[in-house]
Amino acid sequence: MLFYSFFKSLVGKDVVVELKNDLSICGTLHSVDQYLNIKLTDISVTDPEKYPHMMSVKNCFIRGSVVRYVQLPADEVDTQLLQDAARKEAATQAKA
Amino acid sequence: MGQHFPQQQQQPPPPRPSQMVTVRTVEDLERDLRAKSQAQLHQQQHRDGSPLRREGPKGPMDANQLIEMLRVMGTMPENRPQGPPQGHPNPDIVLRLAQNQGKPMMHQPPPPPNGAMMLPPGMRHPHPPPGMHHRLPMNMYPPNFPPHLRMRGEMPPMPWMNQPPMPMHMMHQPPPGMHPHHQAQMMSQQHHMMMQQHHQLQQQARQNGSHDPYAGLMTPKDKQWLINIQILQLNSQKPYVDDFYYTAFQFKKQRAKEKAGERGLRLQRREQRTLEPRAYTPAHFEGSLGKLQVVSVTAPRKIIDMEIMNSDSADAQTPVRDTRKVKQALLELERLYILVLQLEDLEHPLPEAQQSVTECKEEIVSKILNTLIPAAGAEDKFPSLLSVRKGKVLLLRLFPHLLYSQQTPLWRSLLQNFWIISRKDVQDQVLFEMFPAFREWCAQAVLPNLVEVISVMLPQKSEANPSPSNITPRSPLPAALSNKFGVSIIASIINRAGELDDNSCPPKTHPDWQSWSQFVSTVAEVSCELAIEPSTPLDPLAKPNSLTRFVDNKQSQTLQRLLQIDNKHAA
Repeated sequence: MLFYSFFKSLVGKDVVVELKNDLSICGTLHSVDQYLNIKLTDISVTDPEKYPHMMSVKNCFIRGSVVRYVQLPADEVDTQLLQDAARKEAATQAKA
Repeated sequence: MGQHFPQQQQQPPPPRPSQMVTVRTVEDLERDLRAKSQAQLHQQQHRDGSPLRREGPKGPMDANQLIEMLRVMGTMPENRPQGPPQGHPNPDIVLRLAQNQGKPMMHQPPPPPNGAMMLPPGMRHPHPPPGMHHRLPMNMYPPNFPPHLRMRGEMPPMPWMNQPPMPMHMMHQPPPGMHPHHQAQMMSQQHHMMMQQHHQLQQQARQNGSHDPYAGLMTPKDKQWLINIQILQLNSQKPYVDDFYYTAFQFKKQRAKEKAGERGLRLQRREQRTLEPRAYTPAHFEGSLGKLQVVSVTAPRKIIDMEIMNSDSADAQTPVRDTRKVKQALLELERLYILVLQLEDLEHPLPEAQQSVTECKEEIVSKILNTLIPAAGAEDKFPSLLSVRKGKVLLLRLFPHLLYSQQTPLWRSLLQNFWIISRKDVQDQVLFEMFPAFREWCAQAVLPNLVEVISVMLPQKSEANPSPSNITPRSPLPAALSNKFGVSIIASIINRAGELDDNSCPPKTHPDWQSWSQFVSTVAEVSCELAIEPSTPLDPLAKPNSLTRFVDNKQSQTLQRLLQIDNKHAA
């Protein structure tokens, strides 16, 4: 649940999602679920607009399994807290 | 396929046109047959007018927003499926979670309390079979599921289905006295309704110009049912444990806000709209041989026995010895970090955080100190741990939780290994952040503490071989003096000793003062010998006059120059 928790704290921020098919989508993170499916609003395709069929699209739903990277705003992330969260997760999993 | 979908949808792959045609034919047939039973189909349906929210929810994504998100997710196409006519609510238990939609969509009767069952008029209350719980239905069928098919465990033909799914549970006996004709009527009505909706939507779509063959296949109630399943899976009684990052992040933000002066609402604990977890009793089937395994959303069962085996890696036979040591140090640090996190949880304002720690503070602290401070004869891990950035940060986080007496040996160890630590700190520059902690410690020091700490810097009296793990038997004093942090430490110590002397805390005849004078003279000597210009301390010396008692004039002058004492203050 670590990354679900993490992305929840980023809802409303601008992110760039790079997919495994090399498509990069920039948009505002609207919501996320436990499978890390992502919903973006007000999207635009970054890099050259090689994907004209996305021109009319304003919002999209991205299945979590096709995401390669999510680029985040650096000042929205508390790295110390993230490290602690990872340690706790590791500790919990070691127990279970 | 020749069909253009305006947006990607979370919908099943397009069926072959022939299947669609088949379905329509069946519908037509049914419609002809049931032309008489027209009841309850002319209700005005509200359109779901809420557009997709442009900005995402800020703040906690509670169940409400999650419902909204998932609901909107499911209604992506421009032409929203209209609210179901819902002439009669279905005999399913409506979860309380589902009712907080807040949209004036459906003319639904008010939600029943948990446990009540809503029935269409004319149906007697079905007797629940023994062992069935009231609050959460074991067979969670979607609302529009035709009941008579449910009983047989079948489903109406759906366009996207290739194999009929297995029924989740076998339903209980049909309610006694339910007329078969009544059943058929209900089923037909529902089916009819659904197809009507679907067609209505398609007609509208065609009028508008867009064409969406997948609109309106699920009623909002169906969608709500799916949403509830997901929410159920996410329900947690302990958000601080299960959902740590989000909870702690919000907590920090709230605290920062409050500090900044905005006295907003207190931290809104997410209401626990959970159903109390009930003890799961497996479904019981009459007349079956052996125990049948029944799997449901609320009680998943393991099907495949699979374990992950770690294959022994034959590679990396001879890693660089240094790297291995560093990795070992890092692993050790991680172990210590978990303990420090537990310590911090104990002090956390949230009661849930405190409850998550099982041991008491002393136990945890003793575990940590056992590692940091070597037992007699044991290998000293301190220098290797402190050489890494992580180790210094760990120490920083640890100090607020330690008693005064527990800190002293740590400072001593730090000074003892100053060579290594300062050398490795050049890149990190974390040592300076430890200075406030040291200042605090020093302010409370009495002479014996100071002596203990400086004892590592005094010249070794015996030339006997120090412990083999001590890599640099040289005095750490030159290293300390050439490092800004080190000089600051020494200056603070001298400062403090001066204060103590002024107050005559231990009387002047105390033997500790001899050690002290030895120390001061050593410092003066070493600073004279230093080739490099020593750095200035962070806290300039306040009381230089104390020095004159211990050292002769020349040395005193050197010291003063070294420590940047303003001669105006000299007595």
